Amino acid sequence: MSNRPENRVENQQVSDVYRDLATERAPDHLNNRILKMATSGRTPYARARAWMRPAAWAATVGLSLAIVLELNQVPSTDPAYIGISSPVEDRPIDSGEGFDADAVPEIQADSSEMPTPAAEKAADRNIDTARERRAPPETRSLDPLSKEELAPRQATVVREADDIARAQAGSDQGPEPAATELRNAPSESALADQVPAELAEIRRDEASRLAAKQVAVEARSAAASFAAVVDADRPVGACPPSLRELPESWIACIRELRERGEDELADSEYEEFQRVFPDFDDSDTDK
Amino acid sequence: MSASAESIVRANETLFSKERLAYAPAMGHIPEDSALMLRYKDGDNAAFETLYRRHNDPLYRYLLRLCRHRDTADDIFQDVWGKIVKARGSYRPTAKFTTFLYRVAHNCFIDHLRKNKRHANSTELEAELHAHPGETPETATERSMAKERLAKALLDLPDEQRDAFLLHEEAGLSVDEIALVTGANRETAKSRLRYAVKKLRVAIDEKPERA
Repeated sequence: MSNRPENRVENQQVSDVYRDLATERAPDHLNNRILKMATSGRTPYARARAWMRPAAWAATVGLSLAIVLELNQVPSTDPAYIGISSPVEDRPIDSGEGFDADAVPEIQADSSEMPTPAAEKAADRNIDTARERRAPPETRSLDPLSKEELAPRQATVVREADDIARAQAGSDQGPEPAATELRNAPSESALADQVPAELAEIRRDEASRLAAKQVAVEARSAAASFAAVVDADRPVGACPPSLRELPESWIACIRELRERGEDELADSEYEEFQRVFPDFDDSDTDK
Repeated sequence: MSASAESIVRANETLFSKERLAYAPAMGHIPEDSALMLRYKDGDNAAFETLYRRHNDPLYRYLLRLCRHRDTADDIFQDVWGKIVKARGSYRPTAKFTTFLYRVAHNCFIDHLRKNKRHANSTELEAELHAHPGETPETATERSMAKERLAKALLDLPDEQRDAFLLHEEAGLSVDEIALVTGANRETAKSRLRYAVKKLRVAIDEKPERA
């Protein structure tokens, strides 16, 4: 406001008129209510707010517990969530040509883990492949002649060529192989290379068979764990995993099942036995 | 130094020279209202009642003319004192208690405006402006007419100017304290108060506006 004397007087006049105007007083009911509130220390909304803080704390604690319990839940036992083991290439046995690494999903080295159904099927497939390769040549319907069969024939050709050459030369000199006869025959170096190649082939076959067996063993052990945990349908009389470790004990178990009259069980066990031990000679046992 | 500040300093010097107050802060003096509030903080309900009786009527009139509606003024009045009671635990005499009280009241009014955009004009206040009993007819006529014109002009003022004028008249606040309560700067508060008084003066005198 201005400090000029005339303004101060006029301003005072306004104040005086206002003083005359403003004569209202606070109502008694408001005074009593406020004084009562001040004495009790509780504001008009204190009753509602009294429970709000405990409710907020309870909600916070409950929510925190729910989150903690949710995070600490036991992981799902769904086989689809089983982890992946080390790659096939890291295994000690060389997989070889007969081992289809792309088709076989990797199985946990820990036998407590459960195999996936795909792993079991792939292991069976590899076992079948290995068995087929071990089958006699007569059963291989469309297989071309293997190098094992070809090598002796080539050696025969070489000997015949030597004899012919000696006969033509008429001397005791060392056989000089006829060019024409020998043109189509493999050279000695090729033969020499062929032998290690054949050996390598044999080694590869053996490795694939062993790898398949390894897979089968792992699948078996995993299947045993799986059966122990999940397979509630397995009948009581079936062969336990401990007996399935060795073919002899397993066959004995199957025999026992037959003696007890549980033919269906024995048949299913025997089918599985043949899958796991295809090479076992059980002709002398009563299956 | 203004007259009000001088009086405060003199009063504080007197208080300080008499005895060492238990509630004296480090800066040296505490206004009496703050002392009562601190006693109430310590559990003295009688101190609060004294404080309340001192400020309830001016605060009520301030809110009544600011809101221009009696029921609204009652609600805000109750809210203001409720907040004062609730704040007793954390109260510290950093400023005048009057400034603190009217700042709370101003903020409660602003909150109410935000919640209720519609600000109804009431005829209740106008009904109270009729001639007071006990006055002579001559003085009553001029006086009542002046009051009526003032009341009407006060209701017609913009909210900010009316607020500044009422803080000055009812709470006795200075321009600086009005600026502190309303959250405006000093010059804005000063101009609002000046324009409010000017308009009211014109309304009372029905004289042409002076340059």
